[in-house]
Amino acid sequence: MKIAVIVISVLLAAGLICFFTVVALKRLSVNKYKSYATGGALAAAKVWLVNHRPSKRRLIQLYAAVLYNANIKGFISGQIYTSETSKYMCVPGLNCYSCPGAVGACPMGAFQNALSESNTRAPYYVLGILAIFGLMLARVICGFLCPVGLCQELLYKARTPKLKKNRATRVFSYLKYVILALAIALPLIYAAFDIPLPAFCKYICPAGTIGGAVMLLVNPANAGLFAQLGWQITFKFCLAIGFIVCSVFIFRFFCRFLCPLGAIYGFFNRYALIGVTVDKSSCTDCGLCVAHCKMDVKRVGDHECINCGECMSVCPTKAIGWKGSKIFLHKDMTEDLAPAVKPLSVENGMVKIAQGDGGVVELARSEYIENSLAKAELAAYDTGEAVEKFKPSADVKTSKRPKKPVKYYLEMTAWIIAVAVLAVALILYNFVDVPKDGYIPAPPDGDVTVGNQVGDTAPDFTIRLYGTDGEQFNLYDNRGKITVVNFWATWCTPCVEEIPYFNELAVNYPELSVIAVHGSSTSDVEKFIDRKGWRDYKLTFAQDNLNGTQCQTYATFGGAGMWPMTVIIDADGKILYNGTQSFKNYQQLEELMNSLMN
Amino acid sequence: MTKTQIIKRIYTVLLAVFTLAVGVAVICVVADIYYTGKGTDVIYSREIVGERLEKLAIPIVMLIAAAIAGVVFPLCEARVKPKSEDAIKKLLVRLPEGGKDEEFSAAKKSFDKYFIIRICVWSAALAVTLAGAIYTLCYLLNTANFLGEDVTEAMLNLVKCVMSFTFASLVALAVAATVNGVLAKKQLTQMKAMIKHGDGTKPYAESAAVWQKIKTAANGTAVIWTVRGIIFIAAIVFIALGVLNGGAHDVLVKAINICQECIGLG
Repeated sequence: MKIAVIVISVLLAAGLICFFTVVALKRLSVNKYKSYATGGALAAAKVWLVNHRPSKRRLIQLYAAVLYNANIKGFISGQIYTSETSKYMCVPGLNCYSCPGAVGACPMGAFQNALSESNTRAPYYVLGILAIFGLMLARVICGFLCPVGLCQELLYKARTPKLKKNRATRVFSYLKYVILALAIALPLIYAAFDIPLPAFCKYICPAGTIGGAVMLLVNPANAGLFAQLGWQITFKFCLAIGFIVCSVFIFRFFCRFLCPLGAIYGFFNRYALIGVTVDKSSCTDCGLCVAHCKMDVKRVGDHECINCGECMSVCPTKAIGWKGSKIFLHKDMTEDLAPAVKPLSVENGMVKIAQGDGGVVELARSEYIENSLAKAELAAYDTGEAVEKFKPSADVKTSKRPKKPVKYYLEMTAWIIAVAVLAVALILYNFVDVPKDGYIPAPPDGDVTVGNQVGDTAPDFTIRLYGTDGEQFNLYDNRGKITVVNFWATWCTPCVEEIPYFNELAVNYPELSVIAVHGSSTSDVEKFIDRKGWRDYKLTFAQDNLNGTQCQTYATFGGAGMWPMTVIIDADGKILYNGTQSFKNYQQLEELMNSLMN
Repeated sequence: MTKTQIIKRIYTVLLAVFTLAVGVAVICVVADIYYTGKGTDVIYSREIVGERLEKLAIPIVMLIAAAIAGVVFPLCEARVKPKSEDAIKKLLVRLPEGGKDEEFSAAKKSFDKYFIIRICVWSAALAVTLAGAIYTLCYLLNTANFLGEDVTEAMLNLVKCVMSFTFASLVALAVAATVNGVLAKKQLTQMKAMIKHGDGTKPYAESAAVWQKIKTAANGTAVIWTVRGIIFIAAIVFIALGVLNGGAHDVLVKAINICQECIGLG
């Protein structure tokens, strides 16, 4: 707890210092510092800070990433947030809900899970949530509110040679629609066989690998998880490393080519209330915005556009603005408004307007002359008056943002509210809304050590059996037999896969009590058992909510959200095995049983 | 190229090579742990992973430090040249109906030839894509491909059968797009020649086009607001239905528990 307090205090303090430093520096003119630039290291540092201050978009991205993962204590304890306060709600961006810090559900994970369970109930809830996010923000979420996007943009900052967008990348950007189609089709196909399969989460998602699996594994408290790692983590980890390396060379590699969530939001881009839009009456179709954009857009605001707004600064006629500006944003809230682009040269009817290491931007004369400034520039070339070439560093005069005090104070108020919300979230999720520890009842004898570790005496529990008229199973009533308790869930792929192995165990070892305990009490479980044909199994099925509290027995045995979990208790009530390992085949389970019984 | 630019160029290349090397090294170490431990009782453990990755700690830290240090160097961002296809579309409005001399006819002939080749290239790529799409659809609709007990095996087969076709289609389209770009550039040259040698007739009224644009935009606005309304109502209804049918509870249950294999812990 002390560590959590210190970490949160340091984070808050650092965040506030950075914020106010940036605000303070922002208020000072850059030109003022230019004169100080030769005045020593401190002045140089100030100039560097001013020139490298994070943009508003970057601050919002960081803010969203911290807010999504406000459960800081989870990173320390190595356990995920399990309170019901906000986890029924999806966050807009891709953020794995198995990350120890996550305080909301991942929309893609929830979507996959809902499709996996579509044979029992239609996935209305997640579809509704995705539609609302799409309608409100669409791919603004990719540009501003996605932690995965933020990480990729930071990786892209490394000064390596970059793979520019080209015709091939444009074609490969459609790969994400194939991934989306498979991410929808596979859970639906396997739902028909009652096998939950969140295919994208299981085989591809880097947020799940880094944010979920790796974040859990690096914590010493979860050292036991290493025992069950195999080809899947190897494959997914290598894939994630591949994504990271590619993101250094290719702008937003994962978003552009693979992200199915971005593909979903892309469908809504045209209809979203907030986003980037082009004033067609002012647009000259010069193509500068598309040329400047690093995404594979064909035009501003299409399905590939992440609405980052960076094209606004290069538009010579200021035709690009924020959609929904009357309600939410002001059109002139763009950052670093650049001047109209002057031509470098005019040759053979083509106007060269920019030149860099990677090539030149040339426009046909007709594309360039739609605004008065451009006309004046061209006229100068036509009459031979223009002799100097365009020098960006010398000619650029930063047009100052209109000084409107009301707007400034509104913006400041918004930031203060945002920081306050973040502070409240950090306090709420880390100190107030802390789930209670599992209740461990005393055994009937009352004089032995009760616990959930191997070697401890198992706590007594009573669970109701499925398919009976209220019959119950009590551990202490069944003393004298080895009891195997498997905690499973219908939505958990490995749980469902290993149930037949436990049945085989019950058949081959009739002297054992083998029970499969489900944490939920809904009627869906009984239907699920019927559909799978498990009703005739020798394996006993039970539900874990005798007193209305779900997963009480699971928590008693130390279950911390990891599924499946198996507990083996000897005839004297002592715990022989308590692990979250899933069994890949019957032999693996039988070997474990033999080793424990011998 | 100035001395500073040369230093920056060398730095960027070295950093790129270093990044790739570290990435490959990490992948190799992880794969090596897996293949060494495969078939034994313990493939991964905290100790094994810690011991093996410890050797890469210094290169990784150096890479991060080098990357952060590089941020202080301002480097020109490469700009992208607008596509020739777009330029062709825009120049079409200036394309004269006829020309006086032979040069116009020759340019027009070449222009038409490139146009036909472009169509053929696109058609071939689309045929490959269509074949892949049909095969994929047939594969997905055939439930026998997914009936086996081993889901992983089914997924591997899917990758082999479907993803190979998908990649083939994408590569075909990418090649077509690249070839198309080259041809479009040539077509653009011919187009400029046609404009140069044309008779000056311009079958296009610019002002009318601008008005058409504005009119289209106005019409679009009404459609967009209608669609927004439909999406909003549908979303609210769906959320309400989802809360009632237990969908929200499902999301909660999945979010507060960890299906280990679902996040790669397997």
